[in-house]
Amino acid sequence: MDFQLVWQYFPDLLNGAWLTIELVALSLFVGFFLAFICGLAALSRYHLLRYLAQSYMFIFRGSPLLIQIYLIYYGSSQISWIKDSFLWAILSQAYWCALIALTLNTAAYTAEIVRGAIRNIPQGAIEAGKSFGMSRWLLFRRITLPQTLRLMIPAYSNEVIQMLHASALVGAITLMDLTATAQNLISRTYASYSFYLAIAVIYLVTTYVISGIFRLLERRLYRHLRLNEA
Amino acid sequence: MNQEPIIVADNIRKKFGTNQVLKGVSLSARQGDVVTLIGSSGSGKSTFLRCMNLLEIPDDGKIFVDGEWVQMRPKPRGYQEPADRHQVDRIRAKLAMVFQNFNLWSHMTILENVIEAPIHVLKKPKKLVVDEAMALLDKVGISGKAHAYPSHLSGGQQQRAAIARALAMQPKVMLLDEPTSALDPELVGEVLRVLQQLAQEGRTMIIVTHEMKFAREVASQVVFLDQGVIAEQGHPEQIFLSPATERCRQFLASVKWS
Repeated sequence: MDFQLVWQYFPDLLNGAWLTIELVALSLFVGFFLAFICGLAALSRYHLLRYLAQSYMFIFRGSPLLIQIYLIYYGSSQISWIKDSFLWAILSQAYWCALIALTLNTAAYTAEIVRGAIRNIPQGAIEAGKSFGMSRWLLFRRITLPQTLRLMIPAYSNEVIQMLHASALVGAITLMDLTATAQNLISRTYASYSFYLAIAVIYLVTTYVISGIFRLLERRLYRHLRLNEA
Repeated sequence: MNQEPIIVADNIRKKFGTNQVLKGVSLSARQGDVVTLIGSSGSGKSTFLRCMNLLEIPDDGKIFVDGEWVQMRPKPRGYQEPADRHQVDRIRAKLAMVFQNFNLWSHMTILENVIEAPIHVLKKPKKLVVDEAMALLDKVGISGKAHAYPSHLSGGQQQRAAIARALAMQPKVMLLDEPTSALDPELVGEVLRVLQQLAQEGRTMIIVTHEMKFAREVASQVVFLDQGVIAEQGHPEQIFLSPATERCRQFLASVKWS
């Protein structure tokens, strides 16, 4: 492990890490809302909505993220009506393609988490809300949503970490994220061991921070399960 | 006394799949009445109670609460559904329910459970509601648990909290669905005592119960349901001491209520 070499190029690695975090954070943020819409649609009583949501989840969970990135980036450039429309301003840029692919991908996985969580809410809690005259929206906001978020945490913390690591694939369409930056440096310095180890540590530290955030969240949201405060 | 009924269920029918659970059940109660619904498991008493606040939508029949009939509109194949969701919400807010399994909201403290609907459904000011809630928790004997979460309470305490939550709505009628059936035997008494007190205060209640001694003592009217119909109804002394029907006699003998 050549510390000096890694230290010399550390600013480049940090730049790469920043792009990684930016892509992951943005896609998780937007994906989370999409996931709720999709997860609720998947439980809708309307066949069409359910069918659309389930197809979307099936497609994005059923195919590799790398292929999705390729399809959005390379595939869109071969479709003439896209190239002729305003969409091309977005889809011609690797950054936006990566962001879209990551967002749609995490939304599909998270939608499944949302769906599972909603189905696991005790039916009695919902019935109690109804029996006191809560409107649908009030019931969702005050009962369903808070309980869903609590039930989602363990699975969703996995999804976030998974996304951090999966984002390494965006290097395949020219983006200089953390992994691509390291590969670039390796091709110049041949110090593969040092740089791969260095970025592994950076991913590890980031993961540790994410886990820590979720632990704090759990401590806050799971107060109702802890016995020592009774 | 006000002679107009506060709640009426008229000829309620309900089918689950091919199982006709309610075959035309009618009931009316006036203010201050305590009606106990008794009958064996599967007789339809819980379903009937849940039809009154439309947690189950009756296939046929009408519900009247506090001056208004629930508007229904026909659905295909002879069923019906409520025509006005807001009316249903409004009526439910007047009929607080207490469930067999308490159904407290696990992510809220006991106090938060009690103040939730008065604040968000009745839109009452928080400060007032909190004061009322504390008084109610005191009344059911768990004011010390106001800031605990439901999972920290015993079953009997949870059910008393659920009763306080229902009372906080200042309901016209309380619907209680087997309020002691999920409790350990030694915890049943504390809940029944609270309910007895409410009955003495003149609360209008409709109670599905398997506690026959309780059903007899608190009721102004006892309804015996059997296989989806009212087999017998009347004053508790009459039902319990000289049941007119063979089915009711058998049922009372089988539960050994005395």
